[in-house]
Amino acid sequence: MLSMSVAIVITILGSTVVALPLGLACAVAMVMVLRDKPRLLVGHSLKILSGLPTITIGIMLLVIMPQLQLNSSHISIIVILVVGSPMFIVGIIIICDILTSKTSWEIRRITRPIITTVIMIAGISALVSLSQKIGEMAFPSVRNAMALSLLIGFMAIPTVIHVSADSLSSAVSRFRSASYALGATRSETLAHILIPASRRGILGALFLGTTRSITEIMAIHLSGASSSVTAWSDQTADHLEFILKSVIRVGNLVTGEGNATFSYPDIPVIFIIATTTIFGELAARHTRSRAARSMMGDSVAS
Amino acid sequence: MVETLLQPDNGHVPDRTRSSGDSIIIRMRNLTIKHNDSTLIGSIDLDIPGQRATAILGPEASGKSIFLKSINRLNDIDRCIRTSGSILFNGIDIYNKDIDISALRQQIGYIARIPHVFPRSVFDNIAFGPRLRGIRRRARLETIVERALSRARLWLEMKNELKKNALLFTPELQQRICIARALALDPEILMFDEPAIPLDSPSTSVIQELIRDLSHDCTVIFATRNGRFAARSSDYAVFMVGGSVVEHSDTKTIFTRPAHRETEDYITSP
Repeated sequence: MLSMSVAIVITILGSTVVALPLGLACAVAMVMVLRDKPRLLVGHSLKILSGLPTITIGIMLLVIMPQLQLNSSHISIIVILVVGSPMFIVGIIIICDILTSKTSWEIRRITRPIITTVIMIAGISALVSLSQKIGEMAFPSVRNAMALSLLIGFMAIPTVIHVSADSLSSAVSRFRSASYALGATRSETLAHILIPASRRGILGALFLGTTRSITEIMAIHLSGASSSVTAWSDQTADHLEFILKSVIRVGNLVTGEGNATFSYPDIPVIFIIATTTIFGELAARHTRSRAARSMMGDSVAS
Repeated sequence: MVETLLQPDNGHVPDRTRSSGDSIIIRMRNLTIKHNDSTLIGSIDLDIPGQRATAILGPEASGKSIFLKSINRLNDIDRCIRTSGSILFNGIDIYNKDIDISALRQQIGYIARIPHVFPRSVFDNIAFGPRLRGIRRRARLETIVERALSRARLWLEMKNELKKNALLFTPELQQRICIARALALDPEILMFDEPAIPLDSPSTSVIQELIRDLSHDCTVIFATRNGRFAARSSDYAVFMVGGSVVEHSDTKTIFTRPAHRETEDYITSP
């Protein structure tokens, strides 16, 4: 029971680590880089993707996943590149800004591409060698936790991108011009204004995406675990059996036990209810204190 | 000035020698601004005097905001907008490809129609620009914040509220926080887009006095559709309709002896 709870917590944290950087980087690119028409197209596509049952994306990944698990370094390379690349790009922007902030415009124009190229070559080499080392060293359970985190993280990504992009768009419309008018660059506006201003929306998107992925796996599992499968058509039953077996197999790999991660459906459900309750309470407290401060602000202003 | 724009001295506020009141700070030649295929501003030739308050007066949708944003290249954010012609700021073409746009925007401040304070403390809002310039020392930032708030006539009201979230204040105070935020960069030109719109009557007179005060040590350019506000706050006035300049002259001349019937009709309308 304890090992399963730990496995679920690890999976949720792992999927967060996968979904947050990639989802956020895609949302930022969508809001800040794409022009109006491609942005609309991507936005509508994401709406359709996030409306699909996440298990549909999961099935495709589950087909690929066992192939990847044959070689442990493959899965670790994917995890590290997925998690590392967006952070790496943001890191390059920040490092360039810091290193060149006190230099003149003309020197900056020459040094920035050089610094970016050097960091990119060094960073990609470091990422690949690091992922190979981890792949060689990783225990089977670590490898399997990475596989399941990757699975749930990917399933959550359309929702994370869609909701984060909405939140970022709202911040862009309010603060971008003000920040640019003060001489901020795009990366400074993003790092200092837009992401801090929309952090609640981004965290909400992450929570929504991850919990939705987990609960949908749960729904499939619950329907499969009951004997109602036999009441369905043969084809549907076959599909369900495939999904169920796949989920249980991946779950088994994480726990390393005969019991699957999701064979006790109560645990993730309880986990989600508990976190929702805690977050709800924190949000309510925040709203109350904000209202109180607002009243104080009014009295100050008057 | 070329050196300031091309090689910004990060970390230090430029120690400028102010130009005399009669000098021309902005010189526009054949300025045309298009949004896709439609022309928003059509072939404007205009000189704006330095260290004075200039009002860009005109009815709604006459191109006042686009005109202001073209002076510090804020129009560049919108990829559909194309600008041609030249705008010389102290003799330098600001649409030159070698211009450092960040430095330009720090020298030509802009305050939008609706004040957008950042969701941070008052101190952080005002110190935002200086921090971008590389100023990190707390004592130095405190001096800059105090000076900016004093110039925006906010120091007495805000000196004990610096740690409060700026969003908690009234729209009028938020607007003045935005003004102080722009003043913290010690701009050479300060532009306001419709400064009187979000305010009630007493607050409008505060902004009016503030514009008057600020025009003593920097150039102020503001867009307004309110003729009375323009008459009271400016030394020089430009009347625009449909993206074209109809007339420009000293405020007194425009409001007492307008050269065009269109101008007279607008300023005498209730």
